[in-house]
Amino acid sequence: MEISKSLLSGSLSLLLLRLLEEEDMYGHQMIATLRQRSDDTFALKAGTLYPLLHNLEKQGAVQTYKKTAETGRLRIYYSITPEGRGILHDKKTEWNIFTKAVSCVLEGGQACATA
Amino acid sequence: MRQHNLFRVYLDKVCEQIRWKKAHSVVCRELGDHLEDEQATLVESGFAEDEAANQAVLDMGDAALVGSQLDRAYRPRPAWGIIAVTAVLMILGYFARLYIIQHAHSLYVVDITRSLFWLCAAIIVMVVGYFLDYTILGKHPIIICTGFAIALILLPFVYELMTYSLHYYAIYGMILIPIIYAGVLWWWPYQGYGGLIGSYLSLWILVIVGLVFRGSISIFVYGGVGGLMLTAELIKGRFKVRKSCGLLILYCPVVLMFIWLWEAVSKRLLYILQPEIDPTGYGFQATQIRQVLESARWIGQGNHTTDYIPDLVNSNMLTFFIHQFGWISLVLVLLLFGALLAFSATLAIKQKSRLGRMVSMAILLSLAVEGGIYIANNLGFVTFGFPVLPLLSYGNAALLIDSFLIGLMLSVFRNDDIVRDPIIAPKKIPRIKITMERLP
Repeated sequence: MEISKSLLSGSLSLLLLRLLEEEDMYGHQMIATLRQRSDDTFALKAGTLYPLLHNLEKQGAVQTYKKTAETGRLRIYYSITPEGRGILHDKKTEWNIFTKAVSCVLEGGQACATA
Repeated sequence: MRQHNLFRVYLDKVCEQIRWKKAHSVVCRELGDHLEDEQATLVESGFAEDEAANQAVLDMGDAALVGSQLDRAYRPRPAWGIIAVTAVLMILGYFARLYIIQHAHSLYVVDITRSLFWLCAAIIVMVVGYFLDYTILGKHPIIICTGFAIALILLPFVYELMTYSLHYYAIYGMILIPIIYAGVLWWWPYQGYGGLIGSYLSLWILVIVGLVFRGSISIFVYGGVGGLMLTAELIKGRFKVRKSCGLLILYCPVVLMFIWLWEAVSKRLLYILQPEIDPTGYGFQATQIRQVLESARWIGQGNHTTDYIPDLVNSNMLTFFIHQFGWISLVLVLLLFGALLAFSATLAIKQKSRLGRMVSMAILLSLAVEGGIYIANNLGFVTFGFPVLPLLSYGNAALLIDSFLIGLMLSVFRNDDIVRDPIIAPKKIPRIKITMERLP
């Protein structure tokens, strides 16, 4: 089942920062990893990815550097900054509160009442 | 490998939506790399080349939409805080000169219409600096550095052809040394002790050539700014040498020079503190300034006459205003000048590009040194060099050069999003092996 774009757009920066928390990556690698880990659910278009990455860079959450890959191609790698780690932490907390609240509502308020 | 035609068409469509033209090359390079990566992956999984290229473009998404999103991400960033403080300082400088001409005696005659002309010229020069591609300093450092050195060497020889004032004004060119050296230092590809010594020698060459041009001690001040930048690079580990040994290499010649010149240096330091004992007579002005300042109030006019202080319009403008309006004038200048430096330092530290960081720091340090010397002189400490309070005093050549430097610094901040340092493979200076063989 395809996930609605509006549902995905709010959480994309959280997903990207989480990927970069593990290792530095280049754009193509991020799309492939995201697709693989989500079992093809998050098939991100490159056209969506780069504006988002550039905005994260502008916010200071990620930084870039150039590195020559094994293939000899010069690639721009993205790495998370300490500021980005802080944003990721906040976004994770926000996400947990949000999903818990959504679950509570979907389950008719029973899960929240017992908690 | 030549880029596929489909990719070029796609990238052109994306760039059509991005209004900031300078960002086009950055966007095209990154998206182009992505398309080629995607095509290579698809070819590996069995697609034909053209088919893979077509699929890679489809996977990118709508070009117009991508372009409009990138247009929002890429906007030039004018540093409005710095622009505002600069404008206030420039206007204040002009009206300060106007006020002094009407209210104080001065040995120097200043034509206020000419002063207005220089103010307009400074604004134009700043705009030129603002739109100039500052990366040229890192792209052609050797050409720029050599050209500058040749100009410094040749100027004394063409002295006869120049008027005295032109030769005098040319001294302000010294302020450019830190940014020229920033370009050299950024580009310098050599590592190890050889690399460190080489970059240090290039700074000394600039300093020595400056001395040949004009034996002003100011050259050591601006050379010192270059030395600070080199020290910062060494501490950051740029040269991959032991830091303590590197610092020894950098500072041993400086200490030796001080020991060699100790007699002159110690006398100079003594005269800075006690200008009244200076036998050359240079201390007279500082003594007069101190007497004027002793009678200055916090707010309001002081009692001592300023008649014995020469050049109130330029070199001693701040002393005059402290006398005329009180110490509050100094506080105001320190606040404005401090704001300019603080705004600039905040942005300079954050620069993503190392070249941008180095050029903006070089400009910032030059302005700080200039202002520091001027304020010390105006407080009765005869230091050295040409006293210039950036944007406030003087109003001619110094105003032009400082405005250009501030414009260039604004250009660095404006282009922060699109300037990225290329990878320069570190090199070691090759060792020359000399072997001797016995002849048969």
